[in-house]
Amino acid sequence: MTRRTILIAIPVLIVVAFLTPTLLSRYWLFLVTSLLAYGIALLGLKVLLGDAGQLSLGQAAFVGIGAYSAGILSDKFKLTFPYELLAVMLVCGVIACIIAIPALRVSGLRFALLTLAFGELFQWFLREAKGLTGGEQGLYVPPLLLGPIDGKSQTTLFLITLLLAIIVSVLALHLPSTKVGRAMAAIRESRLAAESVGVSIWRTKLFAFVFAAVTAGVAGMMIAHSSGSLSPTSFDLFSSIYLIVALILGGLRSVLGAWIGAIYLVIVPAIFMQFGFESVYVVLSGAVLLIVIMVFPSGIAGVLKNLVNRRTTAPAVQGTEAQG
Amino acid sequence: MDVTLDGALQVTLAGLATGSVYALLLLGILIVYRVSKAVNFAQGQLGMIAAYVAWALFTAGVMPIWLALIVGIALAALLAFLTDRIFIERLAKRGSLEGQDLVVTLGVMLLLTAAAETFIGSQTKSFTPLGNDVQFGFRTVTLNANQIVVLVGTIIVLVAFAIFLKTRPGVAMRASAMNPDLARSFGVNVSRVKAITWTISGVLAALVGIVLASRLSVDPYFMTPFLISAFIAGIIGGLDRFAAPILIAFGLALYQNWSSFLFGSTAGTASLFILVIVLLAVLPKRFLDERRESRA
Repeated sequence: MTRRTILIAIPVLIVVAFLTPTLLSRYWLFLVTSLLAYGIALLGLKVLLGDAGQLSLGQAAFVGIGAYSAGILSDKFKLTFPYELLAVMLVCGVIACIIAIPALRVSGLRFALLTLAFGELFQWFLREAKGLTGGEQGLYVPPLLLGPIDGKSQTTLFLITLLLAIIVSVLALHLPSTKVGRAMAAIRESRLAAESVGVSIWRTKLFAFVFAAVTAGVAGMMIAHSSGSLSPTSFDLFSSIYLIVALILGGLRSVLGAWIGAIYLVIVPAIFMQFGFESVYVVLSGAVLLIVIMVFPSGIAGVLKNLVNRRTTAPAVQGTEAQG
Repeated sequence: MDVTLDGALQVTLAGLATGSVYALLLLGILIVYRVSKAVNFAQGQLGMIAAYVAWALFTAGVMPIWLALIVGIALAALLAFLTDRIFIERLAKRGSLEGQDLVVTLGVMLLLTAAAETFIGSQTKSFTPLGNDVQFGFRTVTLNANQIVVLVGTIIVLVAFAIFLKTRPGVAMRASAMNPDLARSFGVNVSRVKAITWTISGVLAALVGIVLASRLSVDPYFMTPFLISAFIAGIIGGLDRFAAPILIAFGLALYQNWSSFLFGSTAGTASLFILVIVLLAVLPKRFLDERRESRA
């Protein structure tokens, strides 16, 4: 990120932060808050799948762990916001470290299977531990505890989620220029070469896995407070698959792609619902995924990048997109 | 709980009957992986579509049940064939695009699920029983005709497949999987071998879908737990082998049946996934090294 983009970004974000709550209805403010929360989860998945190349079928389970632990912690222990956030991050981080012990021994499809097994166990726990999670009936989540500020207000939730989304986006943008980010790039390029110059594959994968789990947890916490109630089906295998679909659609390798994916995940179905085409959306999501993967393998973000490049560089590059 | 000999025999036989369903579903996944190196997530939903279409045609009174079943099976075969021709084969020609086969078959899976939900509805339905109501008993051990036919049928299919691998077309299939260029230079039409393999896997998926739909009350997601079990067996046994994953499929069904018999039906689900995590955590690394798998 150059200094100029930062100088442009800050005032734009401040305007957005103040204008959005005044312009949007409560329902749309709720949707935008969900969009920001899912964007945070997708940024984590982008680091795990896009940068570290690990296909996890358990990302929605970590969103669920964040959501349920936020609900339980704020209800039973009356934790205020900063402590609750830390506790949720800690819970997700610790669980990720435990799962990482078997998960990081294996790679590829076996990693996918192991995360799937973890997700299914989490579903089983949600349904069986009724005293803690409410089972299939669901769990009521009290509003955020913010001291003097009103935690029930959708505007407050929106502003907090926006702040968290900005922090995670900056972290994800900054990642490629850090040591661990360069290690990921090196492993993607050639595992053997990376290992031979002393890059620890295990430590790099662990970082990505824990980062994805913690961001998913933070997203889950904001989703929990924003929607007020939770049920197991929001965090099942199909939810994990939809997160992957959204990320691939947006673009696996870019932060912008994660945000496009979040729009696809939250805003597009809402628009379809408003016009009464809910069933069209589900058919469309499979079809759109197939078309995108066949025609634009680098996702929508890749297409946008090509368009920008085409405009700023000589017309000689035309036609490169077709090979993409 | 007292475990009598008859009880044990009943649980074991029912487990083998379930295992044969896993094995048939898995066989379709394995042959496709063998020739295309693609993991077919849509395998379960192909079976679901076959069962749903057959059932819809039959209940609409358009055709007798046997014809409806044939149409359902043909449709699944066609969809599998098209998945290969339209997507997988084209991706393969494009070169190394790791992981995209997963996304394509996921897309097909979502599309088929959505189609079933939109056109037939997402409520639970009961299909025509196919021999489930005909009981055969020995002392207190009972199996129904459906289970017996599937168990015997699966064993015949597996034996026939093992023999097929030794025949000329079987060798052609293995050769085009192992080294496509070399196979081509010996006159094997690799692309046609792939198309035929995908079509056969569609037929297998349809058979499994129809059998399960006749046993359970179903919704568009009824194949998911069976697909998950088949994948567990396949991935632990190795998708590039045949004997080990098929045996594990039977073993998995026995394990599931026994653990839900001993600890109750809700424990059956949990014990399966705990087994997966423990197996992957403790199996020696040598066994887990994926020989030809370089993706993701």
